[in-house]
Order: sequence, then structure tokens, then C-alpha cells
Amino acid sequence: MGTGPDPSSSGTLQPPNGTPFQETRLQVFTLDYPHVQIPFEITLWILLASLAKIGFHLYYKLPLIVPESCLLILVGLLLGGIISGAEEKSPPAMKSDVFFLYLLPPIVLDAGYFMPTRLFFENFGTIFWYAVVGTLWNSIGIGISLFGICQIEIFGLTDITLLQCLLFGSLISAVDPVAVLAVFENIHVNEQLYILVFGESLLNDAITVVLYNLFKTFCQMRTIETIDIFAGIAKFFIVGIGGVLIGIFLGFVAAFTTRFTHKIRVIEPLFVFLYSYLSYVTAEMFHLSGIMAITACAMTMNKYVEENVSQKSYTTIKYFMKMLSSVSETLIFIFMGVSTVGKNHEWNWAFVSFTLLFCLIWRALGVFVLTQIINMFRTIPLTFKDQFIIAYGGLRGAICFSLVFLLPVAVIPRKKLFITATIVVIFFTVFIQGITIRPLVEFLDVKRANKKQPAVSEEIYSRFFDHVKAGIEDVCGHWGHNFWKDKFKKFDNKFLRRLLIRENQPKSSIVSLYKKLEIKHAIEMAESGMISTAPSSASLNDYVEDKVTPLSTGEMENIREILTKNLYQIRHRTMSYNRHSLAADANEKQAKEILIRHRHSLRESVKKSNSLSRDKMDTTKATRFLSLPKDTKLPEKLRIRNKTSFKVGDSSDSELEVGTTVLNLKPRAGKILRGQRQEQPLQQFRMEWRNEVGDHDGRADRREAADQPQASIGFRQPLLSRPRFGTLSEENLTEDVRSTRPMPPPRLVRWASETERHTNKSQNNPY
Amino acid sequence: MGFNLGLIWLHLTSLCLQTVTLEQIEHLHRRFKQISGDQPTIRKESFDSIPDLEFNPIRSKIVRAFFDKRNLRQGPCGLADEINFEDFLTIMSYFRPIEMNMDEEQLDHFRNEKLKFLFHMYDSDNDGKITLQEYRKVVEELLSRNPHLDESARSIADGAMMEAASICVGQMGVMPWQPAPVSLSQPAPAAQLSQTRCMRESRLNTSLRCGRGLTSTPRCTSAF
Repeated sequence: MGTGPDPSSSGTLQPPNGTPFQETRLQVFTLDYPHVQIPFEITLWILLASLAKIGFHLYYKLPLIVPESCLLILVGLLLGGIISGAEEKSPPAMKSDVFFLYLLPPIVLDAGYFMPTRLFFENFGTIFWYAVVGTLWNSIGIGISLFGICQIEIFGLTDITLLQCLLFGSLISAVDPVAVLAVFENIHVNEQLYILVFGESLLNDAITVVLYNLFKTFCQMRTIETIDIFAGIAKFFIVGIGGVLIGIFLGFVAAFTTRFTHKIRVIEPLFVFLYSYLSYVTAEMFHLSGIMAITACAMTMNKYVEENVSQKSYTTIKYFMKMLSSVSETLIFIFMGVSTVGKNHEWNWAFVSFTLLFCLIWRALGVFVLTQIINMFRTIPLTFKDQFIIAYGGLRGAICFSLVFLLPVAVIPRKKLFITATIVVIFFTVFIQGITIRPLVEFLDVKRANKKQPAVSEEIYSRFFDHVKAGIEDVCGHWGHNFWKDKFKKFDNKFLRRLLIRENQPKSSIVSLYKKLEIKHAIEMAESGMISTAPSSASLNDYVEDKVTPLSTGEMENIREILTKNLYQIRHRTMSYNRHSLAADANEKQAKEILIRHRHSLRESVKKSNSLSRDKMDTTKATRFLSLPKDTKLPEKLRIRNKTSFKVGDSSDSELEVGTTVLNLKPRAGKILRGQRQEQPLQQFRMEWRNEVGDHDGRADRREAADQPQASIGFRQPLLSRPRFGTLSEENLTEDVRSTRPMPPPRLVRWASETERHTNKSQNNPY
Repeated sequence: MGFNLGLIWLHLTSLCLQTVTLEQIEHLHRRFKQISGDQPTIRKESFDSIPDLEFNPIRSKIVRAFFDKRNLRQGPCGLADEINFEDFLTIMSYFRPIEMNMDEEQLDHFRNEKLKFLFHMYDSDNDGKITLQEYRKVVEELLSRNPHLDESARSIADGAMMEAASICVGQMGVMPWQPAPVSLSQPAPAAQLSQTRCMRESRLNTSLRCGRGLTSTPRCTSAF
């Protein structure tokens, strides 16, 4: 600290009314903590949480054995101990408000936004069944059995009434999405299971809210009439459906808003977050289910917003969401640990242990019984292993924690007992179940699979057969929801998409994914350096000799490796789930395969149409748009690009590039391409990966749109080299494209003509 | 469409397809109508309307399998132009589960039928033999069409064939491998054996549980 006030210095003024007024000198350094206290502490907490996360990953094995949630709680406990030890006062308990209003929404938003909707709706009945009936079963079961225990005199619990027990049962039976996410992320279950447990944890919020409030009110009322019970049931419907409706409504509004945001791309992500949070707090305002509202909003928004926002905004949304939810989750667990240390406890062996016991028993029973019933209606029944994971994965977490803190002491005199019991249950589920679920899952898994390494031919056969099965499943509509799905899709296309999506051109899913994937694929290829320097001459010739030489074991190993890496991915219905990484979703992987296949088919078509393309050369010159052979140059260009910029079209380099063709064009085809390229360096405006800021945005989108028809057409029929124009709708696929100039948006034409003017000028377009 | 599904069920029952229930036939019937757009027959183009099938690498083979006359039991070779519902069911019946109460002979017959179905998918030129070329094509299709894997695709196919051959005749020492097409039409040693083994290990029971969905509600009877 600098110079303090010097009272003996000159300048002590004596104001007229007498009190000596010490004037202080100008202080060079000051410390004003209360001014920044709150933001400072918040920042410190968040920083601490994040540093703790880094710390966990320093020892690489740690997150495998112990889920992060456990470690975070431990850290919280430690902190709580330190704080209470140092300051002799209770550490800041996590206020329920903070939890429900600030910490919980990001997590639910993140989970809802990235929820695999298709799987969710396919299993919706099961999820609903587990959530509603299961939670009811659990709460009432636990409540009643606890009441039975309380009646036993020796435990000293006789003053707890039935209603209080039921209230406690309702809040302790809530499966918690935060804990479920935290633990399941560790064990990589398949998506179906994950959806069941997680979906249940989301949907049961409606029940929990209703039951909790219901019993709380009942506890305060003197008499309970039947009308109240019916009101309770009606309330359940209102809470659930109301929440969902609010979410859907705001989701549509958000999608509609993003339709107009193409001028202000930078704040596009904000709308997503604002609208979803708005739906949450609106629902909470009416005491409806905020979790369901925000989930519905996120799922609705996802489809339409994705189409409207730019690529960069989309990435921003994804990453920001992940970041927020990660931070929230960390904070929640740390706070749970901190809040545990304190003076809020009352220990009673009987109550606590029986609570724990009943939670486990009722959960297991409930899952088992419910599954037997629901299996009659499911196409794919749940196996015993699935049931076990569902039962074992019903973790309790921060929601119970906060709810129990919210209990009014006036109504529940023995609140501290409840708090202790809740904490014990939470800790048990998070620690014991969280840590042991992984080895158990592996144990159960290992029992089944016991194969020796299959022969190569077997691998091929089995993969082939998997694809056959998947195909037949598709044909016979195995999943059984096609009726509603088709109806919804029709409605969607007719009304919703027109309204909510800017520049809606009905594209097939392949086409829109192709657009995204061209970008990603190019980036990945450049990064991974997939460049082969010499043309594979073997493939350039026909297979003249069919001589087959027996392969050594080393080669067989190689082959196996190649097979595992490259076998066409089956459309897995059982992909493993990982929440903390932005895995490419299913469609992307498949579409990526299509992309690669498409390149191959392009090559095929070039081979086929060698002679044709000579004639076409004149016509292609006239067209502004891409014709097929130019497309085949694309991947090579991108592969050889330096990694920082994706400038296209230095024709000085083009000679070399043809030599390094990875697409194995036949020599004649190569020559044709070279010839074409010299006359028509239209490749310049191919695929500029520029930043999407500024007014090039629309053009970037539209230009990419020019590629789209390739995918859809190339997939169905081998392409001849015909010029393609703009975007094609699905219906036009089989028509002769050349005769129509359907929808190249005017911008593209302009752009193309501009670049054509530039063709003879500098080849290096500085992008 | 107006014909009596019950009659179809009886008819199919007589073709030893007992394990298909009436309800499953109804569901397939609905699906058939959806694919065919309410026409009495399906053509190859109708399969284009199934969106998920697009992602399948062997899509063309699967679609072809529906029209293969050998699968439809209509002839030794060739392709039908269009199939009606009965043919559709015939193809689907290859995928019904193996029931426990079958005797050995029926079981064998069953398995052979399924194997033959798969065999026909490999055999693209309908000559009753899988040549090395055809096998190579299959491997190529399965691999992700990475262009610089073409050579590897060749060697993979060759390696697989070698393995298949050596499984059965391993004791005979090194075989002078001829590039002659490997005849796999008869219950032929190598490929059949490994095929069978493979199929036993993979669960060949794509059962026709025909999507009743999660709510077995009256929507089943709603109008198309």
C-alpha cells in the first residue's frame, strides 16, 4: 500500500461546524474489495472449477476410473472444509435459486439441442412410460415404505407424517439429468440406452414438479378433498403439456427470427440462447416444467436454425453451448460438495439407511416390472442387460439436492433429517454407482462376445450381411413409425419450412449435408495430409492379369487393418454416446461416405464418358457453371492446398496437380481434363473457404449450392458430363438437367460472370 | 387394394411360411402400399422413395435382390421387372427367424434358403458362380471407395478367397491357385463353409417383428 493518510501534514481543515475533518492525501494504491466482491467471487469459483477439471486429466487414467462428478464433489468437500475451518461460519450453500435459474438451464439446453431426435421419438413411448409411471411408482413406493418404517417406535421417527414421507419420496425419486449425463458419458453406452435413461430424466421433471408442489401444498392444507386430488392430476397434464407448448412456440419464434438475420451474422448465436432461456424462465414463471420447455425449444430450434444460420454461427452455437454446460455442471458438483459441509445435518441411522435401501429396491423393481409391460409394445424388447443399466443408471443428483433445500421448515420440522438422507443417497449413487457402473457394464459385455479373430472373409461377409439387414429393415419399415414421420415431413415441407427457413429450396438431406461436408472434408483432407504423390499406375490399367499370389501373414495383418479402418460404416443404431465432444452426428458420417463414394462414381463416369466429353467441351465453355469433370479436379486441388488458405486455381500449379491425381483417372481422361482446364480455368471460383463475414456470405452459400446436384445425381445414376446448374430439388433429379436452368439464384450468375472476366487476369485471386 | 390378406396368409402358410403372422402381413402390406404408391406392383424405381436406403453401400444389390428371379422362385436366372405383394412377401420371408420347434431337416432347408439368398446377392451376373471379379466388386463396394485403396481392395479380395479356400483344403498343402472362377454353386467347400460359419455367428434372425411401434393403436387401420 502506498502512503497512507498523514494526519499531521498540513491542510487539516476545520469546517465551521466543528468536527475535525481529516483530509487524506491522494492514495496511490487502494483496495476496494466490496465493490467487486460478487463478480470476483463468481469468477474465482468458475476458474477454480475449470482448473480442477484440468487437474483431473493430468493423470490420464483418473477420469476412466472415477467419473468427473465424483472428483468434483470431493474438491467441493475439501473446499467446504477449508472455508468452514478457516472462517468458522457455514460456507455458502448453493442457493436453490442460483441452481434452478442459472446453473441448470445450460445443461438441459445443451442436452436438448444435441439430442438425437430420431431416436428420441422412436423410443418416446418407452421414455414416457418410464418417466411418468416409473416416477410415480418410485415416489409412492418410497413414501409409503418410509412411512411404514417411521411407524416403528424404536427409530424415533414417529412424528413424520405420511404426507411428509410422500413429499420426501417424490423429491428423492427424481432421476437427475445432470448426474446421468456425467456418468453415462464415461461408460459409452449405446445411444438407445442413453436416450432411454436420459430422456426419462428429462421428462420426469414434469412429474417431480407436480408431485413436489402437490404434496407441499397438501402438507400445508388442513383437509384434503377429492377435488384436490383431481386438481393434482389435471395439474400434471398442464405442467407437462404447457411446458412443451411454450418451448415449441418459442422455438418457432427463434427459427423465424433467424430467417432474417443474414445481415447480422455476428449475433446469430445469441438468439438461440436468448430464446431458449426465455422459454425456461417463462415456464418457471407459470410454475410449469421449465426443463421440458427448454428441451422442446431446443429440439424445435435445432432443425430450422441450422439451415438459416451461417456455418460459423453454427459452430459458435455448438461450442458455446458445450462450454456453458460444462461449466455449469462443474459448478453444480463443486457446490454440492461445499454445501454438504455445514450445520444442516441430523443423523438417524434408520431413516438414512432405509431411504437408501428403498431407493434402490423400488428403482430396480420399477424398471423390471415396467419393462415387462412395455416390452410387449416394443419392436425391440429390452434385454436384461439393458434393464440393469437403466435401473443402475438412475442416479440422483443436484435436483434432489436443491429441492430438499427448498423445503419450508415450517411445514417439515425435520428438514435436517431429510437433507442428510438426501445427501447420503446422492453421494451413494454418484460415487458408488458412478464408479462401479463402468466395470459392471464391461463385465456384462464381456460375457457375450468371445470371438477369436475372424477370418478376413468372415469380416467381409458379416459386414456385407449387416448392410443387407440394414437395407431390409429400411425396406420393410422395421422401425414402424414411418406413418407419422412421413406425415410430419409432409406438413413440415409444406408449411413450416417455407415459413421458417430463408431461401428455402427443398433439398434432399444428402444435398444439404453434402454442402457442409464438402467444407469439412476439404479441411480434414488438407489437415491430415492425405496426398499420394504418385499415381497408382496399377489401377490405371485394366486388370490384365488375374494372377493371385498367396499373401503373407504380414500382408494379412495389413489387410485387416485396412478393413477395420475403411469398411463402409453401417448406419449404426447403436452408436456410442459421448457428450463432451462434438461428434459428427450420424447423418454426417454417412454423408461423408457418400461424398467419398461420389468422388469414385465421378471417376467412373469420367471413364465412361471420355469420348463424350470431347464434344462437350465446346458447350461447357459456354456455361458458367460447373460441369462434371471440373468437379473431379476439386479434391486434388484441395489436398494440395497449403493448409492456411484454400485458394483455388493457380494454373501454374495445375500441371503438377494433374500428375498427382489421387482419383486415378485414366490417362486419357487426365489429358482431357488438362486440356479443359487450360481453356476454362473456371475452377477459380470453386469452393472459396472464406470467412463468412461480410456480404460474400450469401454468395458463399449459393456457390456451394452449385455443387449439390452432383451428390444426388451421382448417387443414383452414373453421371455423364453434363453441365449442372444451381440447386436441384429432389423431384427434378431424373430430368434432363441441361435443358433446364431452373434455379441458379441470380447472385451466382453474377458471380460467375464476374469471375469469368477475371479468368484472363491474375490467377491468384487474393482471398 | 382389395384382396383378402387372410387368403394370402393361408397361401403363404402352405408355402411353409408358417412363422409369419397375420399381423405381420398386414404391416408389410401397408409398407408395400407405401412404397408402391398404391400401385399393385413395385418397380425398381419405387425403392428410391426410401430415404434411409440411400446411405447403404450395397443398395443396388439389395434392390436387385428383390427382383432376382431366383429369389422369387420364378426361374433359374434373370430379373423380373416388377413384383407384386406376394413376391415382396417371398423375399421378406428369407428373413424370418428360425423357430425353435423345427426339426433338423427343416432347419437345414431354412439355412440353405438364406444362404442361397445371400449367394445370389454376390453373384451379380446370374451364372450361379461367384467369380473372383464379382467378389472383388463386393469388397470394393464395402470399402469406403477411397480411391487409393483400389489396389488394396484387390488384395483384400484375393486374400479372402485364399483364406476361404485354405480353410477347407488346408491339409492339402499349398494349392496352386488358378485364376479360374471359383465355383460356389454347389454346397461348395470353402466359401460355403466360411459363409455358414459366419452366418451362424452373426445372428441371421432379422425377425419380422414388423414394427407395431410403441402404441398398438388404431392408427394401424387408418386409411392410406
